[in-house]
Order: sequence, then structure tokens, then C-alpha cells
Amino acid sequence: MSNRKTSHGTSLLSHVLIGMGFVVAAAALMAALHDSWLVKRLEARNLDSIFLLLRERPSDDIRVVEIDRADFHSRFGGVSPLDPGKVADLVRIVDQGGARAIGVDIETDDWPAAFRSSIATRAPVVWVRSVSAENGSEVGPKLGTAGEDVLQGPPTLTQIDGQVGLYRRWIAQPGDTFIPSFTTEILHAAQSTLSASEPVVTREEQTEGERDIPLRVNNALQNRIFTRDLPATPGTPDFIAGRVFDGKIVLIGGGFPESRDAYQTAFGPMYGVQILANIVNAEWSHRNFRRAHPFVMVVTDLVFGLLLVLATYRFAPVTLWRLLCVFVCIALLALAMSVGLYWGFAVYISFVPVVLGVIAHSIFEHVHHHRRLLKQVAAQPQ
Amino acid sequence: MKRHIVTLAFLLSTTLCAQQRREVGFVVRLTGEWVCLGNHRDLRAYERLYSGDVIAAGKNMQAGDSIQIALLAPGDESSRTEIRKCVAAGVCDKPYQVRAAADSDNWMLRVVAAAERFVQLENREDVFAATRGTLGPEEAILNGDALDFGAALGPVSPGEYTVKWTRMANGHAGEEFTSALVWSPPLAHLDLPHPPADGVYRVQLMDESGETVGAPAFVAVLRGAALQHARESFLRVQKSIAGWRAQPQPGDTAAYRSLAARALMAIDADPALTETPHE
Repeated sequence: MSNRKTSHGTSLLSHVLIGMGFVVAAAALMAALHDSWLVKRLEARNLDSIFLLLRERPSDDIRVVEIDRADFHSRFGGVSPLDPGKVADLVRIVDQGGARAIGVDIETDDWPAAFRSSIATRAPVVWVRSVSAENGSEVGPKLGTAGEDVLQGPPTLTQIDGQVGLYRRWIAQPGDTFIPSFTTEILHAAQSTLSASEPVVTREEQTEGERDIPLRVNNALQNRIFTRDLPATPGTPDFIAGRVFDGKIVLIGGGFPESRDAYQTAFGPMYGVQILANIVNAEWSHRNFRRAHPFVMVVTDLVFGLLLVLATYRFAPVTLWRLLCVFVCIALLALAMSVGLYWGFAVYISFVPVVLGVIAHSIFEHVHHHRRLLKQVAAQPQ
Repeated sequence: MKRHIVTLAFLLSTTLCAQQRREVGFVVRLTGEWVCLGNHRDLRAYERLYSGDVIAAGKNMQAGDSIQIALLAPGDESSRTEIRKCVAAGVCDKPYQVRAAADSDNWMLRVVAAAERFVQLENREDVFAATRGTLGPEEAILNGDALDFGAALGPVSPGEYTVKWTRMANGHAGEEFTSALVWSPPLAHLDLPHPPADGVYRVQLMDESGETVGAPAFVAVLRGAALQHARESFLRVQKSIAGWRAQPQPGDTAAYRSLAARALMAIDADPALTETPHE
């Protein structure tokens, strides 16, 4: 490694050592603050930007049957909770449309269990369960008259900074047991209609923690059908012949303010059923993504940090404008790296520590250089 | 050679309504004879449509005949369905090509949106309340200047009210201010003069003549992590209250509400109460 000094008077070796010191310190600080509000917020922003940038088309296998405000008033008489008989009719209609599996994101806890099971359908139907969370994730079993657990777990969406960003595939129960969450149960139900295929969500993943909600598509705008465009009653011959939902996973849910089921997302406000559709969409089409292992993340950050420190040596920021350019370029480069890894390998790596470390180092070098210049000026004879 | 070209052209035209393309909607209802150009297939209600399908009026169309289609990617709220109709016998709208389910924005707009999101600063505020009606921290949510506490207003008749807010500090009344409220079940539209500061407020409804309506509610205004912690604590309190007595007695409801309101003020006064207890 060369020990030659540049115009700003720092050798490459000391530049790299000091720079890597900053990067390592930033990485250590970020690791220590990993669960803090600030770091979660920074990472959530980073992910949101990637989601917005790489918006994809939804899988053709998913449909959302949405009850919007007009439907709420015209089809359900503006009464909430929705009339069980009308909801049952809607489920039957969707079933007659040829659905592969049906998920109902409508609160039915107050219905008699026998009523739900009396709705005869060809496709498996999964009903959402309300969240009665203990410490955020545990729910007690919902027992039917025969003592069986009649419903699956709730969606358990988790908010970060007022915005939903995480979900769970499995819900922990007392005694180290797990029940599938709503989306996992839908995937299992849809899977059961296939003769042979790779499992979408396996039992081995039960102990996994929360996963990021893969908002790769905007189901608030795509693949949705309003209930007013469906027949008013089951048994319409043209509808049965048309098989509008042939082989689709159909999610039914409320998209009206009175449902009190709206959440903030990277795409803006989204109703619960639309967020669930995004999760099912990504899981079903194997387009989910993973956060890199912490060890991989640290090593990648250090390598990337070293490259950036070397680069900043070549373009040492002796002026304020060059310093600003370095800030912008490093942030854009880090974002591009995140986007590239997400796009190409479905892996998310946060380069926030590198960005913070290199920028802090650049500021340090800038200040250090100016102090040295001031000393030189002061030392010169008048 | 010419025959081959004609055959090729025929094959291309018949694929206009072929099944391999992306499904983008379906026919909702129709009167008269409407066809899918290319294979001149007569369309029927609830027939699925694919990107590139071209819908045109058939023969013998009468005034008032129409076709309505539902699109899976309807775009903005005003264009959820597309309608073609005939204004007179044989005088119908021009053929309609079903558009592909593409994003409404372009690449540059996405880049701008992503950049905006990266630097966006939000100041969201949330509220939870517990008193009237069903107990629960979801009773009231403040998003910007819209406070939704419809569940708490359940027993109150729809109408326009004035809301009197009284800041509660250590159980004592403090600063007061009022705001207008339009209660249109199940939504409550509140016109706040300014975002309230963090803390617990006693909220009392008053009608046009200034008479109080119903019982007062207690609303906690909290932000960020404090809201999350307080919500969890309040859930624990609720659970304890709910399991207080196996056989509910007359007067329990009032006692529950009193306890819930006191718990709300206790949580506000002592943040340590929001810490998760160790097992």
C-alpha cells in the first residue's frame, strides 16, 4: 500500500485506517442500535424506496374481491358489522366463480361457529380471526363446539413508525406450539388443491420471527374486483359458466372507512385485505425476499466501506461542493447496491452503516484538512 | 406465398381474443349483441377479457344497448368500469381495446416517488381512548386532523356537536379548548383548531343549546413509541378488568369504565407503567 501523501496531506494508509475506523464504529453503533426506533426507521425508508422503485405486476393467480364504500352502502345497507347472510352469499358466489381457495378478511368472531361451517363451498375457505394479542404475538386457541380450533391465527401485521412493515407466518402459542397465520393458512389451503408441488410455506419456518411485508406490487390498484360487479345472489348461470375466478386465490375484504381496517404503507394508505393480498402474492409466486444474515451484512458492509474509503481518497473532498457531491454519490451508490441485490437475488442488505461511516470520515478529513491549512497560515511570517 | 401470408394474417387476427394473454377483466352486463373482434366471438355476461381484446357492437344494435366491463386494474376511482353504448339503432361507440394491466405511472415517476419516500418526514399522531361503548384502545385514532372515535360515540345520536376538551394533569382539570364534531355513524369528523399536545383529555359532547350529551370520554393523545407502549399497557389493564369477576354484576360496566379511565391517567402520569413486565 502506497504511503504517498496527496495534496491534502494524508497518506493512503492513514486515510484507510481512519476511514475503516469510522465504518467499523458506525457498523458497531448500528448493530447496537439495531432494534432502536431510528435504525428501524432508516431501514424501513430504504426498503420503501426499493418497493416504490421496483413495483411489479401481481401474480395472475391472486384476486381481491373488495367491498368499497359504494358496495358497503348498496350491497350491505351501510351496516357494520356486515350481515352474515350477505357475507355468506358473497363467499358462495366467489366459490361458484371457480376459486381455488378463498380467504375472508371480515370480522366473524361473533358469528356462531356452526354458521361458518354451514356455508357449503367447493373451495377451501379461510376465515380471519381477530387479534387478541398477548405481548404482541400470542393468541389463545379459538375452540369450536367440538373442542377443535376452528380458526387460524390473525394476520398480525406490525407497524414501524406508524406504517405496517412486518408480518408473521406463524403465531406462537403457549407451550412452544405454533398456529399458522391467516396468510399461511390460505397458502396451505391453495396448496392442498394442487396434486404435487413444492410447499410454499413449510413447517420448518415456524420459529422464524417477523418478516418484512413484501409490498412488491400495489394490490390497492391491481387484481381487484368490486362486489357490485358480481351477481347479487348465488346461482347465476352466466356467472357460473364464466368462471371469473377460475383457479384463483381470492381474498374477500372491506375497503371502506367504516371497516376501520386501513393502514399506512409505502404506497400510501392500504386496506388490510390489500396488504394480505401482497403477502399472499409474494409467498405464492416465491417472490418474497430475505434480510441477509447479520454476519454477511457486516462483511459486505466492511468490504463496501473499504472500497468507498479508497474512492474518497482519490477524490478527497477539499471543497464544500466536493464534500456534498461525495455525500450524494455515496447515498445513491448505497441505494443502487441495495436495489441491485434485492432485484437480482431477493436479498436485502442495509448499507446505512457504510454511508454514515464514510460520510462521517469525509467530514472528519475535511475539517482536519482545514485546521491544518489554518495552522500553516498562522505559522507563516507576516 | 400469398396464401401463406393470408393464413398468417388470419392466425394473427384470431389471437386477438386468445386465451394466452393476461387476463385484465370481465364483462359485467350487456344488452344487445357485442363481439370480440378477431374471432368475432359473441360476448356474454361474465366472460373473461384479456389485454388487447377489441370489443365492438354487433349487428342489429338498438338505441340503449350497452356493455359494461370490469377491469382488474381500474386505475383511478372514477374509471373502475368501462361502458360502451349505442345512442341509436346501429349508431354505437367506436370499438374499444381492453387495455393491459399496466402501472399508471412511468419509470421516472417511480424514481421521484422513491426519492421522496427516502427523505420524507412524517409527523403522524395517534390517539387511543377508553370510556363510552366498548372498551378498547382502537376506539379513537387521530390521523392528521381526522379523529375517528366512532365506537366511543355509539350511544350518541347522529348530528353536529361541540366537543369540549379538558387537559387532565394528575387527575385535575387544566387547559380547555373546543372543536366542532360531525357525528355520522360510524364515522366522526372532528375539526380540531390545532393538534393537541400529548396527554390525557376529558372529552365532553355538547349539543347546539350547550347541553352536555352522554357521559364524558377520556382520550389519550400519544405519539410514536409512547403510543405503542401505552397501548400494550392498556391492553393488559383491559384484560385484567375483563377477568375481574366471573359472573358480571349490575354496575360492573360503570366500574370498568372508571377503572379504565384511571388506568389511562396513571399510564400518562407514570411512563414506567408502560414497561413490559419480566416473566
